[in-house]
Amino acid sequence: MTPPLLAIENLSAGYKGLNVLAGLSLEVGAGEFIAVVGPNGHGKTTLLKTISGLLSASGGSITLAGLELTHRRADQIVAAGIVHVPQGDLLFPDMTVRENLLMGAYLPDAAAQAGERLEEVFQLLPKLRERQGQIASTLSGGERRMTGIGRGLMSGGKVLMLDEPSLGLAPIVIDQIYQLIDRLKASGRTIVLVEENAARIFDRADRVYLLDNGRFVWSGSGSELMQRPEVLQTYLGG
Amino acid sequence: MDVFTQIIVSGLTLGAMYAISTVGLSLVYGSLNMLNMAHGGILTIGGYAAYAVSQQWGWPPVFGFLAALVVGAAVGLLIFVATAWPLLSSKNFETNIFIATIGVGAVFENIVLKLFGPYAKPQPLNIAGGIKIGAVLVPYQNISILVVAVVMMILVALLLQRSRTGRAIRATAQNRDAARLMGVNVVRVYAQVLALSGALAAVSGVMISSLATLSPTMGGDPMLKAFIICVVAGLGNTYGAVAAAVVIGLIEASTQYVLGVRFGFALLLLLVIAVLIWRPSGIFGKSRVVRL
Repeated sequence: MTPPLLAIENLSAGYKGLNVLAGLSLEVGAGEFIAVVGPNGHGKTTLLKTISGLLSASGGSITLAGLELTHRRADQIVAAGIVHVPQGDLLFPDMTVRENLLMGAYLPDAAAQAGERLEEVFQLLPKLRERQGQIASTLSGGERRMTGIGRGLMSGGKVLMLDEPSLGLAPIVIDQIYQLIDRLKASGRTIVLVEENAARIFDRADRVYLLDNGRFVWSGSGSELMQRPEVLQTYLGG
Repeated sequence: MDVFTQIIVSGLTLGAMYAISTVGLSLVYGSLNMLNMAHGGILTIGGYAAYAVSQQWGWPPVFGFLAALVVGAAVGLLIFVATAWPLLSSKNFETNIFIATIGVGAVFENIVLKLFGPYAKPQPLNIAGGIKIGAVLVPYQNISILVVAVVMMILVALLLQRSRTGRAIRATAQNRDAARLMGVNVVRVYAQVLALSGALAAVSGVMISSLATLSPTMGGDPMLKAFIICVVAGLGNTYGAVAAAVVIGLIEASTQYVLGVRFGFALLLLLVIAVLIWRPSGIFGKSRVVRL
């Protein structure tokens, strides 16, 4: 078996005096689509923030293609190839859509290819081409989400981590976002997706991890999860 | 007509000097949420650096100006290393850094006092003569202050808008975590912003002392005005701060002419109160709507 691209072992992390993650282990192979589901407030966002270096781990290890990243700074982790599209988009509100996208290619390696990447993102998200001159704070929720994901794509990282891309959007917009995710998956990207709502990821994810109270309580394929209603009932309330 | 020219000239000169010192303060607040109370100290040190090089060492005035730039940047960096860096992860950063920089400012003032003595000194960077507009003699000194200020503002704007460093500074100011996720080393951005702010403050110190005199406490009054301008414009809004600085310079010059010098500052404070009642987050300040 080939070694996993992203390997997380026994990871603990949290905020001052409060441990949120209690020894998580997770492996992501190249080209895989991994989904982490679980109720709100059980550590999904904390997991992604710890991987991307916004929070520092209190124990365990994170390696990307054999490279130890556990206590690196966030900018070093992006440079290594882990891209985190955060919850709530965190756009640069006073910059235009185009400037936001170009910030995604801030690092020298990405900046060298910024022109081609921008064209790829515009191909994938034609709406952003129309909106490229608009100030980010005036975008609609769906456009903001697309800009956030597009900005993440600009860095050309090896692993794309998406934190609740459907949060706060209208159902029709959620459909568009998931169509985009399907296309990203089809193009061979490695994706780690965090969702509260399991319904959208059953038939998409190669593997699903169920996060409860800072631990993985179950993992398996999406179809296996569908055949285990009691698991869903217990942890996600149906 | 001549009175009008006079007011415009001195108002613009004041505004230009205020703008230079306010931009630094505003950039630092915008990216670090840091009210730098040692800003006045850098201003003073900048003025004295130019004095030391061009008066005591006898070098050409241009070197005095450059020395102020370099020393100001170094002092800004020093403030970062000595106060902001160790406090970055502290819980009440904004309060702690405020108090820490008051201490640093006091140290700066006393170093200047020790090195140069308490007596006011003339700033040698002075250009004699002027041109006549109508019956008004516009000193070359004022013109050069205006030109230098405008050139520096353009350079800062180009740096912020066009360069990679500038984009990183703006990104950090707009959303710190997002900037980190883009690969920006925010600690390095903080250091750059403080160095830039220090260089600007020092230049403003040279300008102010060239119209008045050098003294160890000369930084206090311009810093207070810079704070007022920042608050009126909306804290952290750099371009707004430039506009507000020019307007406030013009208002101050007209008040001084119409009502007398002693009313200048009082009216300024009155204006601030009025602005803050009307727009609590400043004229250009945005009370941001948080959306998901």
